[in-house]
Amino acid sequence: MKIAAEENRRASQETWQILLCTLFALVLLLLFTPAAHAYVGPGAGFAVLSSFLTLFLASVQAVIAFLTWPIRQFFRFLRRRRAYRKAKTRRVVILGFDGMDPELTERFIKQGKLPNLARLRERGTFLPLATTLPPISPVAWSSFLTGVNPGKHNIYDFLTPDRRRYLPELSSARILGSKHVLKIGRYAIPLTRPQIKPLRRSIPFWHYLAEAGVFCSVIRVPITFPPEKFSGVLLSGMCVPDIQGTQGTFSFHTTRTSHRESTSNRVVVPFEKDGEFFHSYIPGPPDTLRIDSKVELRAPFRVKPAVSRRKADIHVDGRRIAISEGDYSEWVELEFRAGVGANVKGICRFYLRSVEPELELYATPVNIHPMHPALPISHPLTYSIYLAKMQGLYATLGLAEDTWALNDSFLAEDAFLEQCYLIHEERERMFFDALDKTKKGVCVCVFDITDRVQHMFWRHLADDHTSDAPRTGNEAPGVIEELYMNMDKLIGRTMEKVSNDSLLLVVSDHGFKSFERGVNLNSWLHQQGYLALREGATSGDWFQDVDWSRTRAYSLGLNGIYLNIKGRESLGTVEPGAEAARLRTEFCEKLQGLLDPATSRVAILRTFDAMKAYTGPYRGNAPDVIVGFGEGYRASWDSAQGKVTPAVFEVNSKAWSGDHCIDPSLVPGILFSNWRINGERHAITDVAPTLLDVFGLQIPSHMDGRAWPMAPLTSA
Amino acid sequence: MGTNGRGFTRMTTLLSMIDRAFDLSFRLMGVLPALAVLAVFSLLTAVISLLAVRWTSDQRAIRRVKNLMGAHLLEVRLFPDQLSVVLRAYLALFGNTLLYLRYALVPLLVLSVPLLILFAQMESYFGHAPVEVRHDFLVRATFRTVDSLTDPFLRLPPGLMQSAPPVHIPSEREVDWRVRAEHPGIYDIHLVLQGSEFSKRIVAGSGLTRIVSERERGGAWQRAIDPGEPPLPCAGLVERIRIQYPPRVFRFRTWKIEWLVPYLALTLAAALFLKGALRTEL
Repeated sequence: MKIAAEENRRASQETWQILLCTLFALVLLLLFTPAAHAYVGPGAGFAVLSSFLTLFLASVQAVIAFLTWPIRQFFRFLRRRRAYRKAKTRRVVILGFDGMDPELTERFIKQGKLPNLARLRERGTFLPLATTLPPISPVAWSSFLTGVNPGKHNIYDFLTPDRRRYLPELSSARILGSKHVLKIGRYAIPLTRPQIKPLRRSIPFWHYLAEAGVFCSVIRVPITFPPEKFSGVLLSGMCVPDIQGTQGTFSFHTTRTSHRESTSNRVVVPFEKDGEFFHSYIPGPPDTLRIDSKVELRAPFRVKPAVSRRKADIHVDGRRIAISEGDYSEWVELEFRAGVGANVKGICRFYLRSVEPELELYATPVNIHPMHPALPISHPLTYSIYLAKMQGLYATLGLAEDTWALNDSFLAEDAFLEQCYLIHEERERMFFDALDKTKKGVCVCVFDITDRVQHMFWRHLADDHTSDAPRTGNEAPGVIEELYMNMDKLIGRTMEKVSNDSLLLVVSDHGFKSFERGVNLNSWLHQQGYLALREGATSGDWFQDVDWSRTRAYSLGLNGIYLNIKGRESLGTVEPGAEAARLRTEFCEKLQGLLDPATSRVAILRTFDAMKAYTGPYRGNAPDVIVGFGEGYRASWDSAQGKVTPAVFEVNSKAWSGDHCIDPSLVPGILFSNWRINGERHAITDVAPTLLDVFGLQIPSHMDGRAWPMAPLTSA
Repeated sequence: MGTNGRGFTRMTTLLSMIDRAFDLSFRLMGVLPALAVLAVFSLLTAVISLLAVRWTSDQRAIRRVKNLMGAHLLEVRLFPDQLSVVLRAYLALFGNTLLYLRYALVPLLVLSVPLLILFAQMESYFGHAPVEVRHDFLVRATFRTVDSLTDPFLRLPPGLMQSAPPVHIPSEREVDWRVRAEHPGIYDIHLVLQGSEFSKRIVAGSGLTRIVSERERGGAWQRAIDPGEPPLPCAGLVERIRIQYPPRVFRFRTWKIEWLVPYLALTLAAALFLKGALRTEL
């Protein structure tokens, strides 16, 4: 025994020496790693070990996956058999372009600028796609994904009034605090995750498909926050909040001012000079760990400008970000440290506007960090992490393109445009990744850039537009044309990856028209005696100084008039039933055909009584009257924010110069397909039932849309 | 002494200085239990390694490739229905692992020399415990030729005594002596052979002290991996003198483990804990 032990010891000693000798050669090292003495030390050792650990785990997973694959496939096959057996195709790809306009598309096709869409039109289908009432993105995309009218999905605008307080709240989701909290002194430690209550109702088509075994990749489709569980992957889009819980609050840092100024969508923070550095901070969410929740979390940073080189170094959390004047930084990770060791992570981009004479730095709204999401932004939760690991950090905010920054002249046109395309590139990468991963099933992605750029650059299409916003950049006149051409290229690249027997749909939720004059519905209601202000008061935002005891109707958002109904509104004055119906009719009659005395044009084309326009269990939540503005008109900025102004009509002089919140007949969307689509009327509500039909599933009876008769070209 | 070149002298001087530095460190930490000393070294190793990795590696590339590895792992979970995607994910995972190893190569090479020295020093302190007082232990000498086996005898200092006649093992060219220490202490024994003397240090008692279990023929390399005592002369008749020290073990309840395991665990834990603070991507 002793001799054997001695031999073992000697053998072990020799191995030790051999391994030490071969430390310098990686391959040999790897060969001997399993022996205890081959551990080459921390640092490099971790690298080797962790990579082996990863490889080992992957291998174990691979073996298990391989061994269990036939069993899993068998069960999946049983589950999917019905869906794919009756399916007309095994793969559907839907490209959604928010606000892509059929008239402009037609014009650019005729000019030969959109060859791929022209090819689709010639070989497949190009049709206008009827939008929803009102033609607003959250409403239209909700109908797109559920196949029902707004009375069944409960989304009527971006905002909906809180009937108790007459204040706006987000229409799609309500973010509440944690249900269970442990209070210790001045701290309130949440014991559960914050509650997010989805307000959109009805079931998206991908849930039906997933249930039948059809895999779906859903990228950035609006009104998918909070993400709902289904057997597929989903990244939420429009209405995902920023880290502050708003729909996008950017910050602007300047030496021009010495005091902080805040509005609903921006915070101007002064720089404080200290030697060669300028100190400031990014405002974050309130510290909800404090019982009073009034303390704002902040991410401090400092800037060292290099005036002669028109550059600056931004120091955040020990990292240095070099940035030139007129450039955006990469995404910068921010950490907002709350009490008791908790923190919230977010990301933002900086844009250095100038280093002299004033130092001016713009920071995008702080997006939820996709790798450490403070709120769920994807399903499964790991999908947002996967995308970030695969392609780097990306914008997660619902309305990521900062239109307010351009509208309020904190960003110039070229800077805004650059921001839009930076975000769009991320989306393209996501889409093509999803397309690559969805060999069988449905891949749907919505691109927002078309909407944002048209909103802000529509004035370039007409020299006599009322907007007096400054125009910068030589490329501005052709920016919308170039936008459509870029989308056409994207469609072309997609077509290359989609075979003819797969179904490709290119859709938009609405079109676009010029926005030159605003109609203040609240002012009209005030002048007509339906809305009263307190004695001697002038109105402020969000119905400040409105005398609710004498008010019968008010307008909030972009198209709606709400009656102040007893029992529904906290200070209601209108009896539900006959009086409400009479008032709705009265408004419809009075407003329909309303003329703008300054231009003699029809400002309001049609009006709609919600009780007649909608069906479904949630139509009681709708605005009582929906206003369909005429071309060139829209609800004025003040009207949308619940403010009464002396004039009903006003000129829109902002950069936001194109819009679609008008009569739905004026702004249909587009429908392109590589298949021949027949039938007479095509609406965005039809997409969901059509998809179910394509996969041979029964269309639920509650769906309002109808499946389009369609077939691949080979059999058409 | 083997090579008498200038390089060897310099190397020996350097190694002696390192020995002294470690001796001093251990003396300063003498009041601490062995595990605490090990923890201190683990912490230092972690910090130095993290800094070395940070400074010598392409941190952005490592972060990128690690992210890709994570992404491909998630891919397998996210797209289980798409067999081609899963297979491609495994391939990409393998490729990225190789890439990761490539990025780890430079810090690996940079760290290998100091860690080699560190490990040898740590082994000399934590590898063995002193021989127990009033317990027999073996002194084993291996000779170059079988002829040498007849002559040698062991000269022991006061406090050590031979408890049995030597055993000759011609097949191994080895002679073994059974020795016992009467008191704790550090003793130098002398192996006398054909007029030449070869010394070996023996530590008896307890406590954390440098213990060299074996003195062997060799040059600077041997001096580096067996620190504490100079190698035996290369031209001498004695190949090796070994003392049968008991291994030093750390006890965790019923477990007995050698120093490398807690050292590795503590170093890894410290590195994982500190990598954020030291902004090092591993």
